[in-house]
Amino acid sequence: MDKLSLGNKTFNSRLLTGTGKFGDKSLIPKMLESSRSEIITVALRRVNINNPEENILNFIPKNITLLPNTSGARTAEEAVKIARIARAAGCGEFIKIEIINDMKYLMPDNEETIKATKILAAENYIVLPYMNPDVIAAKKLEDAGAAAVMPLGSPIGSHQGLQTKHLIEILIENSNVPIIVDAGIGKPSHAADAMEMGADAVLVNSAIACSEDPVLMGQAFHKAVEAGRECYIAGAKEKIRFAEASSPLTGFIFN
Amino acid sequence: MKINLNGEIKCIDHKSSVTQVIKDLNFPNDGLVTLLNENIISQVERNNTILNENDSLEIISFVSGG
Repeated sequence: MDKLSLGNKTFNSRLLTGTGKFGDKSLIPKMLESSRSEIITVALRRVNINNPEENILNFIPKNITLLPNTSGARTAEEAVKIARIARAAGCGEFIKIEIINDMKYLMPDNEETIKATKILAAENYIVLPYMNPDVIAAKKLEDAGAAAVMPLGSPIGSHQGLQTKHLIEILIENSNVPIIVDAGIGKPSHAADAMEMGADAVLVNSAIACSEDPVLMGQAFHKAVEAGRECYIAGAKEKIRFAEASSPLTGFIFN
Repeated sequence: MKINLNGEIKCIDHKSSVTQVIKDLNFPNDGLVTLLNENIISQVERNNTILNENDSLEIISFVSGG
């Protein structure tokens, strides 16, 4: 498959994964192997001093690119602080900006996301902003220095698939940076759908982590992403309203 | 003396370093980020960074997330 370029890095896989919600974190390395994913998200939190949990980095192979997110940030300022902390921790240059102050619907704040992108891109981060799929906001993110744009397919963790499909199509048509569909992907068919319409990559977390067999589901998503990408490159025929015969409609044997 | 540690008031020994606090909590020194009064303290600086009364120390770690 053709490679995915993000910033100055290239990747063989167009499937990004997340570390959230695994019942058994020891499955993460096996899932990464089966899914072929080369980028995985992590979050930063205060250590619970009374009951510390094991550092998630202990479960991630060294050859995997870490994509720390800024979850918990409600403003651009908070997101920038989290990004700087992640870099200080040796997490590399990648950052997924996630700014949410609506705790009911978990919708990203595009305006604050644009502000944070501008600041972090100027500091040479490879910025991947999670956003509501709005073409004007996407262009502003691109102008602010985003390495890719990550529109939501449907609300986080909802597994509803591409409810924003037509809005994402507009982003794909108008974007000069990769489009990575994030949030809401619940099944491999949703990922294939996104890739078939020209998304450059997808980020899948809970659909894999919360499945009965995350390792097998990771493999299923790998196949779906590859199939979707190959379909896009091969150029699918547009759908039409009425039937169009595949066999000749002349020279019938029986009159 | 008292410091604010991850949002909780904690008593620590006078002139404790950041490294000592981490050690007293039985945390590994690797894979953590420390912020003293909102300034990032790198791993190499922790040993020589002495805490003062009412300092705010944040110990941050990577956790799972999407």
